[in-house]
Amino acid sequence: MKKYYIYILLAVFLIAGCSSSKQKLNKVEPQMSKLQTSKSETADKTDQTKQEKGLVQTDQKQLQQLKAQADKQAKQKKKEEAKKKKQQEKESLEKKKQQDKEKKLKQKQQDDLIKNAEKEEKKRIEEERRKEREELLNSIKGNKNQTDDSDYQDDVKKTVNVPVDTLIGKDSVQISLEDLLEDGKTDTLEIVKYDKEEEDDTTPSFLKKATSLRKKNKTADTVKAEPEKELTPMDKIISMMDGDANASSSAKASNGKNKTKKSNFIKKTWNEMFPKHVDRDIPYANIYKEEPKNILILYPWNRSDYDKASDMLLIMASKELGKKGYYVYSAVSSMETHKNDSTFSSRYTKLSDIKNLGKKYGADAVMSVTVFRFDNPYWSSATKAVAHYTLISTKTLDTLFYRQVEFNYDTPIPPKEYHDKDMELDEEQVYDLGVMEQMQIYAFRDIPYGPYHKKYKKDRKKFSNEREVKYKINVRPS
Amino acid sequence: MKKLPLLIILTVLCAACQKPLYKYKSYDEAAFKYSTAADAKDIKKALKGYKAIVETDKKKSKKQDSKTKNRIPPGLCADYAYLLLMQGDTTKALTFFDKETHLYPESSVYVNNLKKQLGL
Repeated sequence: MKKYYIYILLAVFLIAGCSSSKQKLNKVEPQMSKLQTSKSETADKTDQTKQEKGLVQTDQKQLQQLKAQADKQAKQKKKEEAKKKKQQEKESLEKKKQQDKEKKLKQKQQDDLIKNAEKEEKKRIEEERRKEREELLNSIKGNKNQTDDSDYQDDVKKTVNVPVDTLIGKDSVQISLEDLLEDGKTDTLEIVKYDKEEEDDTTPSFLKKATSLRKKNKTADTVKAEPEKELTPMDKIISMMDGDANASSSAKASNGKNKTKKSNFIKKTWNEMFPKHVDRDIPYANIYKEEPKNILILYPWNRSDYDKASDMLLIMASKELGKKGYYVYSAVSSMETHKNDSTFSSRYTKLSDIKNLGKKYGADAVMSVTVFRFDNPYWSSATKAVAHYTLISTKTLDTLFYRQVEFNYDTPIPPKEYHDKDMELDEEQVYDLGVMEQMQIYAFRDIPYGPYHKKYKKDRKKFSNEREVKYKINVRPS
Repeated sequence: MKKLPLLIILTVLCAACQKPLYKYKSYDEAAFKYSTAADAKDIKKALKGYKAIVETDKKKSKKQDSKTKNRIPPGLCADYAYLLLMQGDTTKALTFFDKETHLYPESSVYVNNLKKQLGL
């Protein structure tokens, strides 16, 4: 019985499998039947279904195949396009590089051409100058053999001897070709010393003496020190014997020293109490000797960052020197002359020009000033000023007065007492004017008085003592 | 010892009574104003400053001589005359040029050269 059950089950599974396959076909049939018209259902349907099944399967396969092919083709296209782009980019980069190289090469070629041209010009100029020098030397020496006839073609200067009569008493001479070609009248040139050094010599007289003395004593600088001779033993003994002799003489003198001490003490005290009148060096001796009355202040040389320092200094210096009793020329006129003639300043005047200024203005002395600094930095409350003053006489060109001032004003006290509000000046300008005024007071504090002052010639002391005056002042509140 | 403070006070007073040589007043500001002048108004202001110093009362001017106390500082008359010339007043400028030479005869050379340059 069991075997029969098994056979029955197998038959059932077989039947179920067949039926399922039929159901699938029945599913496809209604889809296809929608598209196709239904005419014959039985035999036609089976044939149709079979055909349709095959078509569907083939269509699906074909579609899949076509899709795969299309995908492949698309991928290939993308790859090819990407390759093309890369190739195109490479080609463009290579083109750019080639173009850049070509440009650089052109520029180099142009630069090389320019450099070569400059070098050639320099060489040509040097050769021309060398030829001119040789020709001049040959003309001085009188060497006729060095002249070349080929120079006529190039219009270059020719070495020719010039007659002496045409040169005497003249600075320049005009020579014609006919004079040059004539023979029998020429003479050799002779160089004469030109005294230009003496005209352009701007050194003052007190330095000329020093240089002349130095030249005389030149042998002392050039002579080398002789080496010390080695002493022989006999020489050493002799030197020792002489030392003993000197020692003996000093020993004899020491016995009488006590007497000399007393006498020297008395003399010193007597000389201190009642010193002798001796003409010693006095400060500003040249001023007392020459006694200038008129002072011309040149427009100062401003080397600071403040544009108006030169005008301020000129005004205040003229004011301070007027208080000391000197006649100082007006500041306004000197400013106007500087506008019209910029050489009227302490920057461009030389010692050779000072005599002419003395004749033109009738001044006994000329003052030149240079301002190096006049500022108020932001990190401090002090105003700093630096200036150099020199007073030179127009007659002897000696320095009468020289001073270097470093002024530092650092107080809350206003430097200027009197202020006219009608002028409508800025507060900073008024402050700067006051500082400049205080600076001039300290700069000219020690200068001798002038002829219009009461103490003229009275401030000269008989016995001058050495003293040091410090002009670097830091005014601070106590 | 009791008289020492009196002596000290007297010496201080005597030292303070010393009069200055000149009275500059606002000379420096007037000159600086001229140097920075941009208009004719600024020059007029500078002239006022010089006028207060140079043009004193007539009574006082009679007492002033070249030998005695000169209250007009040196060079100011010439500055004032130069400014007057710029304004166009030549007659008054010539008077002050002459006054400068009268007070300070050393300035005759300089003043004469100025006149030649200015055409006076």
